[in-house]
Amino acid sequence: MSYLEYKFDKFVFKAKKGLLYHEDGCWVELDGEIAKVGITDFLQTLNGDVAFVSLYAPNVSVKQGECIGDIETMKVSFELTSPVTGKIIEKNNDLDESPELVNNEPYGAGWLLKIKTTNMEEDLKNLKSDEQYFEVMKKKVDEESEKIGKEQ
Amino acid sequence: MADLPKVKVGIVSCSGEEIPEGTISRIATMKVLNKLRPQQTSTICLPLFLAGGKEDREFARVYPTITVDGCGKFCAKKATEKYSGKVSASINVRDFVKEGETLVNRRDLGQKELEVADRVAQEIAAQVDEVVRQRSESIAFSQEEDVSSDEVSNASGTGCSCGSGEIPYLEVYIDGKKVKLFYLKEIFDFVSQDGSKSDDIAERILSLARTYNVIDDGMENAYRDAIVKEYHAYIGGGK
Amino acid sequence: MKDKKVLIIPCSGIGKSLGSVGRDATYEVIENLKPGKADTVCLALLTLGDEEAKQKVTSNYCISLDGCPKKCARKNIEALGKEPEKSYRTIDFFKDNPGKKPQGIVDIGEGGRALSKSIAKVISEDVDDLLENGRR
Repeated sequence: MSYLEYKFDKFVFKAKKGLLYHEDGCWVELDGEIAKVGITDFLQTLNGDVAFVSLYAPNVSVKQGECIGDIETMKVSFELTSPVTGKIIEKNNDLDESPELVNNEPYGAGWLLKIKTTNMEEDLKNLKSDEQYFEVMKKKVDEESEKIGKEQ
Repeated sequence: MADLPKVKVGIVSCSGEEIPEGTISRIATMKVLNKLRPQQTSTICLPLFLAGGKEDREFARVYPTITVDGCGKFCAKKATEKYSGKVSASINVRDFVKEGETLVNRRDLGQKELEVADRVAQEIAAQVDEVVRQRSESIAFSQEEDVSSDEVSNASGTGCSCGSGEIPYLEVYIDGKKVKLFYLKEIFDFVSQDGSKSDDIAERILSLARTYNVIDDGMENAYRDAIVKEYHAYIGGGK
Repeated sequence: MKDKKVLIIPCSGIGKSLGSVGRDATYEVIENLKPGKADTVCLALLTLGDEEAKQKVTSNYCISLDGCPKKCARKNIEALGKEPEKSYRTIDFFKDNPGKKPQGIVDIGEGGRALSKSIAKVISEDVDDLLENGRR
């Protein structure tokens, strides 16, 4: 595994190479027409310890840009936006008992959903490459620097 | 021109559950982190530090630290010196308790305890300013400048499995011992571009190296000689 | 067993509201619910090898109360060769009590105090159980 890394304070923000990224904070790993989806390292660090993950169930159809669930952390609750269009085929049930996987392994065991895609050609226009996302991520880190790693 | 990392100060607070001064230490530290000096400071979680938190220990090795202790046992100071290095300043809450004053509340602080917390917070902030002033002078770096992007160099260190990532370093032989010096390559790039005269370079590099590394008293000559030799090899042949 | 107490050892992690909640719950038990039967010890002192702190831990029952999945309090106690009689994470109590959300680190707020009370209630039952029946 390799990452693009941006160091800030005692944190290292990672963007995993080879993934695609949606501007609202989800990443996509494509395997044929199946998209594995999760949230970025930046999003989990910014929002703090995950307490609950609530996701749409398998067989539900979703569109890129629309809600697929929400996450509640000790700091905030935020909605998850689908990075692709298709039908949910699998949910990560480990997150019911161990939501901290989203914090500890956002690109690995903390994945959220698998979606069978139906509109990738169009959806790709709204997804960024790892390097494109990395530039966006660095700006976001600088903008949100006062909030990172801090609860009031 | 190459950028050097901004100076940030790590505050290590004791957690002293048994005494009011432990709670005061926490409150004072949080006040500095959130209100008085949010841009210049970062917290180091003492229990995580003690349990082996690599990112916190590494941060405390590279950046200046101020410890805040609640009693004469100086746990925060001792822990920092044991696992990371010399501290830049050590504050003890008991020094801010007026003579004859007894502190009672360790859960919800009363007026007396809150006043002590305020005095301690002001002192922490003053120490932060002094540390940042000293360090920043040596790199002539404005506090308003943004943190530079810094893709971690894989050639000079191994990644940390706990996700802390690596702080770039070069290994240099000093008095026959291999020593890790953080941000050395970045210092070399900076110095080679900032127009320092050749007479000044040795002192300049040593001064900058001191910003990110602990150099014990009495070892300056050994460090200077080794680092300057490394610098000439770096700009001569690259690394 | 009659001379023994139960030590509640929170992580007191400064970076998270759950660390503060654990600390508050500890005080609720040792000051209000079970004074004289429960006590605490400074985790840092213990980890740095203070003899008095070590003696306190080895000769009493221990309950660790961690603020996050890193479990620093538990790890630091185990590093001394002692396994806590009970181990909790405040985040697990929050999962069972989602309406009791702490508002911050310095001031945990109403939600945090309510969560702290829920934790303290469970721990105080453990205190009675340990003093009555010992470690199981």
